[in-house]
This record gives sequence, structure tokens and C-alpha cells, in this order.
Amino acid sequence: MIEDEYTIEGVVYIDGGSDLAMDARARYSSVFPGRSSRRMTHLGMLITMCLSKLKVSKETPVIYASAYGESETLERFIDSFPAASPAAFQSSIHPSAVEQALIPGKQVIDRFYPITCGPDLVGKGLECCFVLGEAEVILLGGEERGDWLCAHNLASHDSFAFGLQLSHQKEGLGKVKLGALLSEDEESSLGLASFAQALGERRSIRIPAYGLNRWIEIDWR
Amino acid sequence: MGSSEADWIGIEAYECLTALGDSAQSCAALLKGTIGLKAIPVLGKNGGELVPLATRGDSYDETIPPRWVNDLDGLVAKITGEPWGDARHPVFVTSSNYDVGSLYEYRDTGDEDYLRMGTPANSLEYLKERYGWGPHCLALSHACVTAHVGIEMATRYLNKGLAEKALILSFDYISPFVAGGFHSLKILNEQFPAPYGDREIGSIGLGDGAGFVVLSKAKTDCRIVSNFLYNEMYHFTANNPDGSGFKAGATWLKALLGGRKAWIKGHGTGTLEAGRLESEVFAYAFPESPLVSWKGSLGHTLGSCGLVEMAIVLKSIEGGFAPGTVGATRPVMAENVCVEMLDTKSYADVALFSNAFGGAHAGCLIRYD
Repeated sequence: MIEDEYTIEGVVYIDGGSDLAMDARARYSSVFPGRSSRRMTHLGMLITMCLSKLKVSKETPVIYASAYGESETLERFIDSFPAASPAAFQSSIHPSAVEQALIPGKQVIDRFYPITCGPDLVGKGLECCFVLGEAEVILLGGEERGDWLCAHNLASHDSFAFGLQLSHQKEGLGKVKLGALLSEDEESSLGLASFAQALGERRSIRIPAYGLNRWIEIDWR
Repeated sequence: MGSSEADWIGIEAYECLTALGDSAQSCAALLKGTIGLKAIPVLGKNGGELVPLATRGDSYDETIPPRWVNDLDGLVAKITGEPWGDARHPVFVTSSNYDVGSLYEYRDTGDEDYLRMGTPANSLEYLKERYGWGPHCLALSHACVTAHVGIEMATRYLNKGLAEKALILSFDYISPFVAGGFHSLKILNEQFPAPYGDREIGSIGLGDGAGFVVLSKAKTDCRIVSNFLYNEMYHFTANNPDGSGFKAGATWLKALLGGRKAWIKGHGTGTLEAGRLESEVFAYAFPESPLVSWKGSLGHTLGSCGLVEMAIVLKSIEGGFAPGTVGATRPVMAENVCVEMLDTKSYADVALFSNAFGGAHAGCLIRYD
């Protein structure tokens, strides 16, 4: 059996635009003072800012959705050959962004599910929240703008991140609910970026969850 | 700690491919002490230092189609007959590299044919189309614990009655991309790995690997009784020196075993600090449990290692003997490190552990009484 709704306790959306990491370091210098962001990726900075507004605990499972991860960093690593860069290798490995956010505070988390599938990534992320069925769960996501990979549709054209804190509290900002059964051949058209924007605008949306054979609906108070 | 009680998750089918062959061939070769690793230039055709790599085939340079495609065709042919990817038969793809090595090859050669996959999403779409899978497919990517994370999530779908059977499938084929990365961290070097070996220089080897397991609620002879996840978030590439991540695994396992005896298939890559922490924590908590690692022969098969090594565990149970820690010689880091083969019939439980960057720990307990 699975619960049929979650309350939205917290939501955060950050639009990183078309900045590259160097621009982002300047833009977020008040959040990451001094040289604290010198080894961070753009996505790492965005996810760090998202998590700072959510209640992370050891027991709260974290689901992290990103199709491309640290694209700019991946490009930098590839372009560092033949003298491969250890720093770029380390921080290009999925799910580096969440590790960049949690390692400075030594924040242990028991369960961490980094997912990275295609067009129905949003549906899968939400579906996993229901499958876990925990009292609290955090859904994170985001992308980092690439450069030459973008020309081949192998990276995101923009950087962004979002976080959604879900619980079984009665009161909150809104609800994430299981809705009607899916009809055959239902297809999702909501990408991760559009989903993140909808959260930022607190716009009601619904997304198919194939594993639950149900629509998942997000409504705001 | 993060554990999911699996109650009874039956293992209906499994297989793997390594540099030594399928699970039966790999297990037989490991029992003979065969080392699958060979000294190969770290950047393949572009040369570089000779490092220990265990490849399927003579070359490990990128090809079109990728080297893993034919191997996956062979694996997937063993599990036809189910409507994989429909609402009751989810697929969990649990690689860590997917096809990322082809991006390096594109940059090296300028050949755009190498860009046909490259990302996890494109790789997954390719697999769905090639094998006729439905939309209920989930790709995970959590570095070298990915396979166990996928198994844990699949267990949850089965336990909640959301699936009849779940396929967890993984492939990680090494490339100059990944070898160059580990070489830059200096843990892939000219030394062949000796997991848990008490020596001066630590090193790992890397290997090609693919595998799958089909899970259900069927009453099979071997079953998963619990999964374990824990993330230290202490350091990117090192474990907390207090051993807390490994101790969390030991605490989880102790509660499950009670007084039962188990053998342990550890992570054991060949690095010194992690090997010492893992072997010493398990030696203290389970002094009668032999600890083995096979990465000294197979190399580290990265995100797929949990599935690849699980297949060899299951083949070992079938055959009655499990390989010891191939590649290591005495002295070893702790007394429970098992260098020789062990009699699996003396046990009814085996714990499998994997670790990853970020201090990630994952594992499961298989019971076969």
C-alpha cells in the first residue's frame, strides 16, 4: 500500500540562467564568501542554496533528479586530457552536486537516490517519493549549463535547481496527490526545467507516474 | 542507518559478464586464482602509463557501436518473455558510466558518430528501443553503489505490491575517460591491486562489467532479506577515519544475523585506508566471518560492481565454494580476510557491500538456507 498524498512543507527554485560557473561564483559571492566556492560546480552551488532552505536530516531520504548533472565540469574534465584534471573528474561524477552541498557540514544521510532517466524524469522522481512512503522526503533536482555539449543536445542550455520538502503534516504550502488512473500510451511532456519553473511559480500541474499507473497532481494553497 | 527489510525477495535469475567470462566462467577462474587484470596503457591508443585493466576483448578504446552493446544483447536474451518496462515489470538501469566514454572519444577524434548516446538518458532510450521495454524504466547513477541503490528501490516496488518482477541491469565498460580520471587521482597506477593486503602502496584496477538480476516475491532458494544504504558525506574521496560508515553496515548486519554465521563479500578495491577500515570493522564485529574481495582480479566494475559481484556470489553458492581474495597475499590487514577459497555450504547467509565517492555505503544480505 502507498500513501495517496504528501503535504508540501517547503519549496525552493533557483534560476541559474545561462551563467557558467565563474559567473555564478561572482553572482553568489555573498552566499559563498572568500574562496569557499572555488572548487564547486555551478550545480553544486545551486543545490547547496536549495538545501539550505530545506530541513535535511539523517533520516530524511533524498531523491535527486538530474539528467545531465555537472555538464560544464564534465566538459572541463574531458578537455583536460591528456593531463586529466583530478578535481574536474571528482566533481563531474554524479551526484557530485549534492555531495558538494552536504560534505562541508558533514551531514550524514541514510538514503540517497540519485536518478537520471529521460523525458519522464519528473514523474519518476515524484513516483519514488510515493514508493518510499516515508513521513518526510526531499525531492531535489537541477541541471548545469553546458557549452559544446549543448550543440549536440547532450547538456542543458540553462542552469537551475529546485527542492521540494514533502511530509505527512496536515498544513503546508500545497499538496502532491495521486490522481486519476493513467490511460494507455500517456506521455509526459513536462521536462525537469519546466517542472522546476512550475514549482517556482507555484503553478498547479499533473505528471504521469507509470509505475503507479496514476497521475500525480501538485496543487497549491 | 537506512535499511529496507525485504521480507522475502526472491532472486529468480541472474548473470554477469566480466573479463573472465560469464558468472560460471568468472567464478571458476577466480577459484583458480586467475588475475583478469592486464597492464594496459591508461589512455588506450593514445598511450600513457601501463595500468591494471580487465577488459572484455583486446582493446578498450571506444567503438561504434559501443563495446557493451553486443554483451548486453547476450544478457538480455536470457530474460525475454516478460513485458519489461510495463507497469508491473519495472526496469532499473544501474550503471555509473553509461556511455560517457564516447564523449571523450568524440572530443579526441571529432567523429560525431560517438555522440549518439553519451548521456544516461540517451543510453536508456537506446536500450528501451533496442529491447522493446515499456516506459516504466528508471536509470540511477550513484557512482559505485548504483547497483545496490537500484536493488533497494526495486525491493520497495515489490514489497509495496507495485511490481510482479523487477529487472535490475547494469553495464560499465572502462574507457580512457574513466581510466584517465582514476589515474589522475593516483589510485590507478602501475601497481596491481591487492585488496586488504597489508602493503605500502595502495592501488586499484578497473574492469569491464555487466550484469542483471531479476527479483520477485517468489520463494526461491536464494533471497534478499534486507538492503542497506548509508552516506557519510564526510569527504569526496575518503571515508570518515572513525569508520562510522563501515560501523553502520556492521550494526545493520549484526541485527539481522543474530547468532547466524555469514560470509562477507566486501568492496575491497585495493586502496589502503578504505581497505583497512572495512576489514578491521568487520573483523571486530564478525570475527568468524570470512571477508573476500574479487576486485584484485576482475578490477573495479564501478556502478555495476554490486550486480556483477552478486552474480558471482550466487554462482559460488550453487557450486559450494567461493573464491578467496584473489590478488592479495599475506600479510593482510585483518585476520578475517580470506585469501583462500571458502566453503559456502558452511554458511546460510552472505552479506554484500559496495562503497562509493562521498562515503556512500550500500549492501544487502542474501540468505540461502
